[in-house]
Amino acid sequence: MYHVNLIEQFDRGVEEMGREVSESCVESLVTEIVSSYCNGFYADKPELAARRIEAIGFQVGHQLSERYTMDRPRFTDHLEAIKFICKDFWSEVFKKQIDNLKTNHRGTFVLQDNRFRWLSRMSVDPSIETLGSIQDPSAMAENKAAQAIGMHLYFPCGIIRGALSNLGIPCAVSADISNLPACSFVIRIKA
Amino acid sequence: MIVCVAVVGHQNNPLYIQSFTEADDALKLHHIVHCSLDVVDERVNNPKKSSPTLNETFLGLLYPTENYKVYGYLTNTKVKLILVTTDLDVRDADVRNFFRKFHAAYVDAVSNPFHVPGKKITSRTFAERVSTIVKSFGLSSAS
Amino acid sequence: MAPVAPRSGDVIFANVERVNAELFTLTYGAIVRQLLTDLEEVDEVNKQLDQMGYNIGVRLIDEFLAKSNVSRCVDFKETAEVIAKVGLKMFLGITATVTNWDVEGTTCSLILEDNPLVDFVELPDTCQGLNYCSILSGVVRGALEMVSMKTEVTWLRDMLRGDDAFELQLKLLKRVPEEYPYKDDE
Repeated sequence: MYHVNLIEQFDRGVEEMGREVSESCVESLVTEIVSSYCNGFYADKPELAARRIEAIGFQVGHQLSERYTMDRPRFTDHLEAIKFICKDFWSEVFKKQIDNLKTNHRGTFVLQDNRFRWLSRMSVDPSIETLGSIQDPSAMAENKAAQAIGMHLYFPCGIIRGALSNLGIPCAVSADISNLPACSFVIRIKA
Repeated sequence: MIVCVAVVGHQNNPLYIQSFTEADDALKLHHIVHCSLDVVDERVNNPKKSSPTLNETFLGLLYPTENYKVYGYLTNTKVKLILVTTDLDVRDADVRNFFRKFHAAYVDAVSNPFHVPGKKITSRTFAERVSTIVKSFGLSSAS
Repeated sequence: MAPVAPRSGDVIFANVERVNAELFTLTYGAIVRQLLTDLEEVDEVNKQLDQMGYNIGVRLIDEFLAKSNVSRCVDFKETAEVIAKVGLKMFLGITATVTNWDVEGTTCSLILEDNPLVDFVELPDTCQGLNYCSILSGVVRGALEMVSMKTEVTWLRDMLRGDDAFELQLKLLKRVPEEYPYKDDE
């Protein structure tokens, strides 16, 4: 993996904010999406619940990329589009940029957010604090709290996939939380 | 006067096309829009390296016909916006201004949660907004 | 110790963490559309949105009380005003007008002329029975229940259906004594 410098070109000044709502509103919605789909209609079918949550994120990302690219030149390549996700897009949605971008130059990109807002602010099970020390991924898979977090992450994964897909970049997106509160999003571009 | 505007999806599927003439020349205008799509593709795939408009959404004058001037605009999401006018003396600023508003109207229309991506835009609000933008074309480039 | 004065909605909203409303509006829209796909029946979607709102209201009341310094409302009239001027403002950045009181002072309407939930939204003809903003009525019901007021909250007017404003009717059904927190006995 190669490190990609995010501090360069395209840095736009802080734009004037349009209409705003309290951040609690967005967090409340995300929490309700997850609990409705995981505890409600798809309680015994977690993979179906995951797909629905991801689909909701996909629509949001698809629409947001349309809005957030309105005043900028077209991207010339995938890297430029990914950098846009890391910077402008992330700033609009999470009020900070991605901290670290890596790529293997063969279509895989890893976006690391050192303090992913929806995990650090959301009221998830307190036992997640201990998760950072769990190294064995299989142990983690069995951990209920990790599963709950995983469900929450289908939403931002869907947002990223929706945004890139609308920019003409079909891809698969997954999340890695082995380093909480850091969270990495892995984007694999489909050839 | 603007005689026709269109929104065309990334697979050249028409999402919205509206003519603004009294005459029964919709078919001819649709044909002009259709032909302009190839010019857009041509421009984007073979950009003039020296051109200052490289990757700019506004593509400028696509081609003049005997009676019309056709302008194009390509969004980051590969949606084409087309403008057909009968005006001979068109100011660049007016066209840019038109596309900026037209694009904003399009973005709001596809932000409707019930809009299905790739499907025709049937929103009445969008149609009304576009008609207002068309009417105000060239009246003032300040706003 | 003198009680702390309640803070105005504007002051609270200026001090809470805020995000651009588009993210909120589009997320809500995507939820509604996904629910329509999954539940098929419009009535079921209305119910589900109301339930989601109720759950949110139950949780958000604590944040509301903590940030607003509102302690206890004298009567339902004051409660309605607090929702309209402080509650809606601190979360959604909007305010409502309280009107249409009945003689008993237990039923009134909140009139919203602006509502970030519906930016960009146009209902398709197939969804005319959809109460698009059901989540908001659920939030109000849930929050009030946490402060011992059992209410019925209903949308009377909806701009998405061509009305000139949004009208949310609040009806106080009963007050539950504070010592015995209301338990769900449905």
